[in-house]
Amino acid sequence: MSEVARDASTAETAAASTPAKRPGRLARMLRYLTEPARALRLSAGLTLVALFLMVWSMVVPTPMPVMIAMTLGQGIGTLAFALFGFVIFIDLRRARRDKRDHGSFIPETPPEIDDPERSS
Amino acid sequence: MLSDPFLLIAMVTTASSAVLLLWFLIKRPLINRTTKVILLFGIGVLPLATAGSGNVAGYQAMKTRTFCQSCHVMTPYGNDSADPTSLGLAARHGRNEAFGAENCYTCHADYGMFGTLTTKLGGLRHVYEYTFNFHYLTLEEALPKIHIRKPFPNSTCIRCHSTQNPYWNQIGDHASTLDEVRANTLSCASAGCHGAAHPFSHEIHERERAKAGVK
Repeated sequence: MSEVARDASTAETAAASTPAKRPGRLARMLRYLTEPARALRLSAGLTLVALFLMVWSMVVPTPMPVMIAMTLGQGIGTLAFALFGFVIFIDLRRARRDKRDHGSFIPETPPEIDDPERSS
Repeated sequence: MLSDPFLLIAMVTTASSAVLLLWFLIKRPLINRTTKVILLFGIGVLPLATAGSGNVAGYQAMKTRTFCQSCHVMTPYGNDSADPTSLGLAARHGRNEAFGAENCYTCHADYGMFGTLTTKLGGLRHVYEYTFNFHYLTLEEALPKIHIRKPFPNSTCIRCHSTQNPYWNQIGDHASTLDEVRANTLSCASAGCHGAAHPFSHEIHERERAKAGVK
């Protein structure tokens, strides 16, 4: 067996004997939620909730709706926008990494984000 | 409702944003550059415009008498100040267009550089008191417990009734109490002068004081 093959074999054996560390539940949930297409849908949904609360406070201008809109409504809206910003940031970072890794290969348009749940 | 331009802007931006977001959620388009720009408007630009104009519209709405009256314990105060036959100070000033439908706020707001801020903080305290102490009381139980937090400052009256008008000073009572009025040691709304702004409230407190005195 060549030296390279022996090293590879040793590495495989070492990897097999060491159990892979499964990401925690929180990490898995975060990864699930921040999957780009899903995160954008969540962001859109949260924005609709925030808009509803704002409109409610404008249509019924009494203390409780106004306070709920100013606190919860604006908090949810901010979270939604932050989530959207996060997705865009990740996407730009990936595009920059692709450009760096592939050297002169620069895609004409940014790569489209795959939406695994979108029906064909 | 839609006479307020900020309210109208808020409604239009809300509707536009909702259309874009519902299109995205229902159609599930390919997430390319065009979709991201649309979402930038749907999640960012338009909701921000809604929040901004909605906040201004809400701020204006919170100054109205109907807003103050929306807590049931304030209903008699609002009704009295809107009553065209009432001779209370609040009612007489409410008939003046400068006060009008915002007469509660116009008289009770703090003034000066931080006046708006302190007034709004005071409003939060009202919400707290109402939510935890007054919400479950009947009107009869609540009215004797409602007191103005600090004496009504003469400076609020003096903003318009400057005490420098020669005709004002020709009135004997005004001339003789000028220094005390300006120093805020004698209230314009005291019993011997112009009387309580909300006479019915004054009567209720007098009755409670008499009852306590008897006990």
